[in-house]
Amino acid sequence: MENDEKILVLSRQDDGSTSNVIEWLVTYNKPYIRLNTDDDKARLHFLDIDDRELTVSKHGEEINLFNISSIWHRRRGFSLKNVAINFDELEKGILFDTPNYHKNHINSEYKVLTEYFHYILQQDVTAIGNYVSTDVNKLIVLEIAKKYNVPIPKSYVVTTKDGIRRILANTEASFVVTKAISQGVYHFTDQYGYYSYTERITEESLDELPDRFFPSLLQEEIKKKYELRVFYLNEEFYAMAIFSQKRADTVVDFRKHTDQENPQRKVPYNLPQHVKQGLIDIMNELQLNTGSIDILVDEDNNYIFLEVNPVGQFGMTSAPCNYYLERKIAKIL
Amino acid sequence: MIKLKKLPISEPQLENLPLFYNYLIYNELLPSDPFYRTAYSEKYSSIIFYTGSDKPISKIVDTTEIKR
Repeated sequence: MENDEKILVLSRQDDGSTSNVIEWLVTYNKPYIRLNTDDDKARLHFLDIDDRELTVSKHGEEINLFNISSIWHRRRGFSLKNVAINFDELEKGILFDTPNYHKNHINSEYKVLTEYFHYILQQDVTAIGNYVSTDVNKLIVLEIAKKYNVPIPKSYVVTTKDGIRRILANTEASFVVTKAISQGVYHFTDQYGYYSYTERITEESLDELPDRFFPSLLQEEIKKKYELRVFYLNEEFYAMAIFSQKRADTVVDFRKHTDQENPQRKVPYNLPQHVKQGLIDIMNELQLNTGSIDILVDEDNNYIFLEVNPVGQFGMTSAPCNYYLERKIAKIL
Repeated sequence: MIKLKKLPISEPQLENLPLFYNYLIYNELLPSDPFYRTAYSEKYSSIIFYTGSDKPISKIVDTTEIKR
């Protein structure tokens, strides 16, 4: 078995930022093992809790994950694909009248196992990210922001068109916006890409909406001067201002930019100290040492916190601002 | 310019979905799109996406012209 200490990188095979960090690990001669949630290249073999042995094989090499020197929770890394099971057989029902019972049970069994792996492997080693907080609750995060007096947009959850009318009638904001409570749609198949963004709802556009719908998040629209995308790493801030207000397609959401011939202006940005402290308070309460934070700066120069994504893309901040974030992460690991 | 289209979803379906589904958009991926051209790298255990290289350098600076 390979006994050299390695860096454990938990990711997905389609995460390009992980590969960019690994290029730096190669440059610095730091050995690593990458486990992807969405491939079956690594196999789980054996766990001895007392003698600290957790054997995983990859590319014909057996590695004891208790020997890792550091861990990066870029994604969950472990999944059922790490187990040599035949998914076609698993699809067949076992109980007479509850065909999916055993599949749910298998998922529960493996979930407990992988939670244990994440818990035990980040003990006493340098860790970037945190398994417990890879998927934060957007509404709880807004509550935490309020607790630390960090300004947030006025937020509502509505289920009817009348509910939207009530908000529009009582708000000082010109518009409201809607977005996903969890993650938006960002999905690719061989043929199509599907996307959802933050969208503006006006009195006029109400006619196009159904009278009732699934509970949906609405926020008063902030009249922004510009947007900030902030990468946070161990209480250091790498912020980028995006001048998305000047273009009709990106007024509400800078990600809606599609004109590759005319890129948006993006520049490095230095956050005021009081904003940094508020963000540190939020991140500490979430037990996060890294994440991508979205902020709007309004026309009165208020910094309005929108959300934090613990596993957000940071290449989009790193490259335009020359922050070399991939190198910083590789150095910490 | 990426051509985005609104995804058609019926009203009975929209009544059972969050509001942002009313604004779901999509595009057809073309061979020239970055997401279309991929390869798998064993070295990095990663799918590599190839990005367009129409304008790899936005401006060539003649350093001999820079006055110190």
